[in-house]
Amino acid sequence: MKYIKHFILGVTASFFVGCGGDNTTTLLTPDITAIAIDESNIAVYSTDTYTSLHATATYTDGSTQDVSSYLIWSETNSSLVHMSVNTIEIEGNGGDTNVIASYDKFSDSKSLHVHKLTNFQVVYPSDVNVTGTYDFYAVGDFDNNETNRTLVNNVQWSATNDATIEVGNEGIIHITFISGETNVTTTVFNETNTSSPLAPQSKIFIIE
Amino acid sequence: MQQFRYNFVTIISYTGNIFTLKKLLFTLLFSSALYSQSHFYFGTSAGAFHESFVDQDNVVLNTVIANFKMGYGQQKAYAIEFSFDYTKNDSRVFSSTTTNDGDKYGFNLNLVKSFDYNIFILPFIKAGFGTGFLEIERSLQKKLSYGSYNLAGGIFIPLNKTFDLELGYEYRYTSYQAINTIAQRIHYKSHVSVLYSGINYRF
Repeated sequence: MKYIKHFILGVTASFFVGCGGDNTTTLLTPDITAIAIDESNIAVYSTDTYTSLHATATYTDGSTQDVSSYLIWSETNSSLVHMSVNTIEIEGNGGDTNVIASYDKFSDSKSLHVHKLTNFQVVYPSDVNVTGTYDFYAVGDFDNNETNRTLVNNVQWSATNDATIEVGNEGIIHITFISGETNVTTTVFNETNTSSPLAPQSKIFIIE
Repeated sequence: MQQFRYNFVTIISYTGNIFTLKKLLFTLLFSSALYSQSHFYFGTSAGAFHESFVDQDNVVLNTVIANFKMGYGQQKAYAIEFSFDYTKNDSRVFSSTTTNDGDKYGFNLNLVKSFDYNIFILPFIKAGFGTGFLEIERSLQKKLSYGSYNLAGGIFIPLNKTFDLELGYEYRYTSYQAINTIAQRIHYKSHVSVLYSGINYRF
């Protein structure tokens, strides 16, 4: 009985010791209060190269961090653009959509406008007559009155007579010709309608 | 129980040392099978709980812990011990609201080795691991799991054939589930000291 009495006293003492002391009430890691897409009034050309968006998380202590690559990105019009993580891949020629960045219960949305290509021209080298490699590119006009803008994406090039095509930077195409007749065809947005302003354009080169 | 099964898995991932866990389980099973005069026992204890976070100056929790345990083995040799513990929590280190972090609920599995020196008391050591959880209030997390390695020492004071008192000190190295800030997963670890006393009933 004596032991039990001492035991109970010991337990009581332990509780009092345990209750003493200051406990920390300072947050170790600030919590998230919001995420936001950095860019606003987002507008891209339908034949431009990929564009990356950025998003920032704001925390309870006022600090911020770039969380672009951690969010789930999506779009409301997938036939116009496709979000590959935070990169806009343009699929269609002109239109509007919303891009959404989300993570759990947090999300932000911004509108995105894609300028429409209205017509285009291929810029051919003037002296394609002997075997060798020549640089080609295409320029286009857009619905916002932008003219002669080099087309980088959504342009397809083909050539006959075993000519080789190599895609260079900034929309430049390197075509290597061999002897014979070579037909170079340029297509935008896979347009096949010959009555369209964006109809495929072809030119025949005679190589010595 | 579902929560404990989940936590049992998470502790393995926290420690990243499945091999150690296998060895420990084997030792536990082997020792229990070895001694035929083993008995079941129940026990309860309470004590003072002190936790300090690794690499975080002055981040501490001083509180009380209560424990209920079931064991199987010999009082004067080896035993396996399962225990459930409750830790009152008056700190707020994880929750971002004005509410304190939730109380902790844990489950532990320990191997007990006691030593019979033919004196009145039986010194013992314990080693094992534990897991548990606490509720928190964060925008992305409402519950936080943790795992721990446990090491304890103390004495049994037999009162009669069935009852004994237990006084001990337990150290726990605790690893918490990561705090999610989207940009980072931050893992916190802590050192826990528990000074406790309890009573066991053997049958």
